[in-house]
Amino acid sequence: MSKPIVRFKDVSFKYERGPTALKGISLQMHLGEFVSIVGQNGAGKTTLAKHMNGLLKPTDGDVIVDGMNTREVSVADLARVTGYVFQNPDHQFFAPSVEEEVAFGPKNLKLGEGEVVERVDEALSTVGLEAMRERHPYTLSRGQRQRLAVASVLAMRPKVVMLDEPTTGQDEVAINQVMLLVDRLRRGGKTVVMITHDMSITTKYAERTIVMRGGEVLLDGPTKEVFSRPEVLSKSSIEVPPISRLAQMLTDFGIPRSVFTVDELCNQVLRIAGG
Amino acid sequence: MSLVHYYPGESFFHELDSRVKMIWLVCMFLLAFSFNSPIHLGVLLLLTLALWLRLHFPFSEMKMFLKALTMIAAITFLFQLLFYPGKHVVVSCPVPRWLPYFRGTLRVTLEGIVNGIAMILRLFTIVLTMPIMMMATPIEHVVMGLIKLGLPYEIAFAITTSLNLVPTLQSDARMIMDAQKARAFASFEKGGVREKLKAYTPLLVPLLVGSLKKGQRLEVAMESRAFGAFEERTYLKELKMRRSDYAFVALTIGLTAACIAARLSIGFGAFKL
Repeated sequence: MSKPIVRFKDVSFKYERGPTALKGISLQMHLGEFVSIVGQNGAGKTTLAKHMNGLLKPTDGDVIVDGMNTREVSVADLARVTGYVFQNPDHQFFAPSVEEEVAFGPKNLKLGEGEVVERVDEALSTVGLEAMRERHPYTLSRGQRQRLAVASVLAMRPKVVMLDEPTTGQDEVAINQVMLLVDRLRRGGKTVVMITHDMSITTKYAERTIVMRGGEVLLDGPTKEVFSRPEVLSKSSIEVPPISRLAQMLTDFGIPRSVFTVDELCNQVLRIAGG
Repeated sequence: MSLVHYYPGESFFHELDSRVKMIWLVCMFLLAFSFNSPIHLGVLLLLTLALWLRLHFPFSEMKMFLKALTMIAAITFLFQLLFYPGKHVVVSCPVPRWLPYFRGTLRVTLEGIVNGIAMILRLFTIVLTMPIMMMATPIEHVVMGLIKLGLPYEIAFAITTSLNLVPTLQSDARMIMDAQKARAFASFEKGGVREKLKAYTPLLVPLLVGSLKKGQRLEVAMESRAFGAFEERTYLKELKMRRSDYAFVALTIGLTAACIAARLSIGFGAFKL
């Protein structure tokens, strides 16, 4: 495999006057990977993500992002490599138009006007908001605001895009739009790191799943393998999606443990019935 | 900067009714203003400090505050030194005639020095008594006390709500700053006032919009729980004066009244040369 874009080397982190949020984390992420981070509230998911763009610096150990030690560079420098889409998009909108909102990041990078315009166009078309460029950010729908938040990060042309619960509180249509967009990013060669509580989305999109519990990595591996171990997952109060639970109850009949979609299960049932 | 907040404890002072503590506060202010001799003011300040230590309140929270206060005290002292008129001249030196007030000579008098010291002692006493009360009383009790003393409930509610909102706003501001930093936002320091104001827009606009939205949600939540349905309302916790409260009030008011009476009649606590 290629050189890792993100590397955690035995990273621990303790909040000032707070609990130890990360305990000896070591892991790597590569370009083009789609990683889902799951776990209960307070498991350390967001703390882990904030280490990847330098918003938090490790108390012990090192985080290396694209060859840079996060201790030695500023958040602004790291923002070129790792984009972070926050959970609540309303926490960042201040500009009078969608266009200017997206241009904020590239302007902070001191890019020339032509380059800024180019990046804004590209980011808006990626998220499908070209038609909204003159609108005021606060007049957009919840789903559109979420995509605007993604666009404002994409305009920095990061190699890694982190999304903190991008689907929470949205309807089916908006969720699908966001996930299609995320999938497109990964196909475009970016590393996508997604924090989520939605196991169906994880099993549907992520190739790799990291399960966190109490500041430690409980499981880390291909999503199929991680979700075929419900006994470990339950320690972290994570429930396998219903269709997989059904499949796992049917293993006696020769159905594999790692079935995640209705289609897969149908095929397996047909195979057994037909055979 | 953290606001002075409640330090739980079981001391006699903690247990006092909040109204009693308010009366104590007023009495301390009255005493601090009625005395002008450094000895009497010094005793008052020592008593305040003794109470502070007795209640095991930390001074660390007040560091910034005390620093600023020391500056103010120093300036006050300097002004007294330069401008206070008196008969007992300690130092005098000629100054240019065009300076107003001095008429050619600057005189530092004994009265000025003593008065300057008294001002500093008074300042520290007043500024330190207030936090003692706030640190020994949960904010809800202070507000309950104010209601009992006649403050309309709506205003009391607004006070508690806004005080409780401060930590929320602080955490919102941190979150917004993180979100903007993640978009390579870095500069807050450079430029003049206009540039600085402009630099703060990415923080202030989301913070303001967020607060307005929060306010709207709060309004709906309050209305749906019949806020203001009746003029009079009942309370979950009622303040009740106990015997020790009455005793403390009597003692405080008695002592203060005696001191002020003595001050007016025989000049107790007044400074004479």
